[in-house]
Amino acid sequence: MRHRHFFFLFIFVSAVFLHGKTWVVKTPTLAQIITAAEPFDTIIVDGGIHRNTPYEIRKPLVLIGENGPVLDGGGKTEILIVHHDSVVIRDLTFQNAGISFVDDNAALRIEKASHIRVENNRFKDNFFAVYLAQAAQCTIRNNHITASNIRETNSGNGIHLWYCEDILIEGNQVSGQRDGIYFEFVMNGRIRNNLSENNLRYGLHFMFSDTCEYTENTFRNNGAGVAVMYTEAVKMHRNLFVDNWGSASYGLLLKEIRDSEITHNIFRGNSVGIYTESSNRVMVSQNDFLENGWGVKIQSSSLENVFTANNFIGNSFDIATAGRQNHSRFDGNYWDKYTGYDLDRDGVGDVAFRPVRLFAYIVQQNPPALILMRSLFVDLLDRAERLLPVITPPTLQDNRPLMERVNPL
Amino acid sequence: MKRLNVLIAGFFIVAVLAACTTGPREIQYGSDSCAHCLMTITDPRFATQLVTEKGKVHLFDSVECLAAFEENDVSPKVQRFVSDFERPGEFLLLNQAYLLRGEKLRSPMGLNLAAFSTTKNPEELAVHYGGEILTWKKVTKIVVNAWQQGQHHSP
Repeated sequence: MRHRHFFFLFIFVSAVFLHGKTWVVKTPTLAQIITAAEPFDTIIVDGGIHRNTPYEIRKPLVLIGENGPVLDGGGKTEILIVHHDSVVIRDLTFQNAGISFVDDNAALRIEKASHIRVENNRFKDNFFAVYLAQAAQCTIRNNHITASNIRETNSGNGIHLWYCEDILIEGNQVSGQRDGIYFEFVMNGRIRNNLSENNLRYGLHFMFSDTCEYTENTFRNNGAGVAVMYTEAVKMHRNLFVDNWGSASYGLLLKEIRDSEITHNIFRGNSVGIYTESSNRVMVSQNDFLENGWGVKIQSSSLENVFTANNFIGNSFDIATAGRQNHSRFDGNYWDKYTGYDLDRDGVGDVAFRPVRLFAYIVQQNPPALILMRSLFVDLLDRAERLLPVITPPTLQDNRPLMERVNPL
Repeated sequence: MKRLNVLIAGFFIVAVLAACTTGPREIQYGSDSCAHCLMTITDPRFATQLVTEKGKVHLFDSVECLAAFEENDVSPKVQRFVSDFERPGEFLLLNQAYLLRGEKLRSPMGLNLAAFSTTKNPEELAVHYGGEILTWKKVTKIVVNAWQQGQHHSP
């Protein structure tokens, strides 16, 4: 009986002192998993906030978020840097990539890599959001990029491309960045069906980027509209340029653009629909210029541009030029200010239309004169100038003004 | 009478001198635009300015645009100012600045040009930013060559 007691005591004591130890194994961090993964593995990031930024990918990988994982740069660092080809980044949220005055810090940087897909991600309050440097054959699709910076100087671009080739940018929404979409030295880029609005400077900005195509995008209410510069063979079709309003704001600013097409676009409610300087051989056709301050401002340094089958409706000034020279052709457009007649009923007005008002010329030289806009005297001046052009370029006229508006699209 | 003349002459000299000492203008980043490329100026690391003899100030977003503008403009210039890359918002007189072209200097017009204070060690700058120190003449040549031939390199 006594032995039995000892036996139970022994068991009890053993249970207290000899029970198996519990190891608390923390979930490996994202960085460790990325390091451990084999090439072409898939990593599913299941929720959580991941703060050990920056993460770097140096092998082909698929990185997918589930249950809303967030990668947070803490306002200090970059977040994810891709250094290798064939990487997919999907369904992640990137936030708070740090502002830097020396480096272009980005939430997602793709550096010297090709065949990268970036889809369905959210980017919140980053300096630069998506940054591609020397990348090729990449797709940036259906991402949602927002930022709430107030000053341009501490705000970077939404989708930034530098020395890239064969890039598709489709279905993204960008707002609150410095430039929504930015291209510098890009070849063969396609920008389709994006919405870029409320950015501090330009909705779309590109330079030195030949043979790129911009279709079916909306650029709305950006600080200075859209700027395209120093580029050849640009195609801009079926875009919407709306509500870009301000003293230095343009629906579309063209500077040294050559051999390009601008067709089927709508320019509505901009201070200036298109401003063109030193741009040659640009075909502008079947666009709507609606309710802009100035429909088109064309500097005499622009040569051999053609404006045909466009609608000019409800603009304060349809066309303005800087000098007496005009080297562009206006032919077969619809002008709501045309007061001519069509006796032979072929749909084309029988007398030519001069779209440049004398008053537009005066206002260009002396902006405060705008206060006289609706005065009788200005109307008389305009009519006199239309009959006998003395100051406005005599060759700037549409010999075949249409009687009814062209229906684009 | 003679005294009065001296006084008037003195007044004019002071007035003329006062007019000459125009410093750099304060740039409204995000609303002022470049006199050459028309872009809105946003980056205080790269902005430049040109003051003409008549006191007109032209603003530029980059060293590139200042050089290109000067090439096409014949009116006499008094002063040129460039931003100190390392102290954004501070302007240096062009002849008191090093001009550097380096891969890490991603200037707004893509030719990788920026300016630095001459209090810095030029060799160290060149090493740190991976480039070389250039004369103003050389900078102008680079810009003219790049832009007149249409700048179109591929990656």
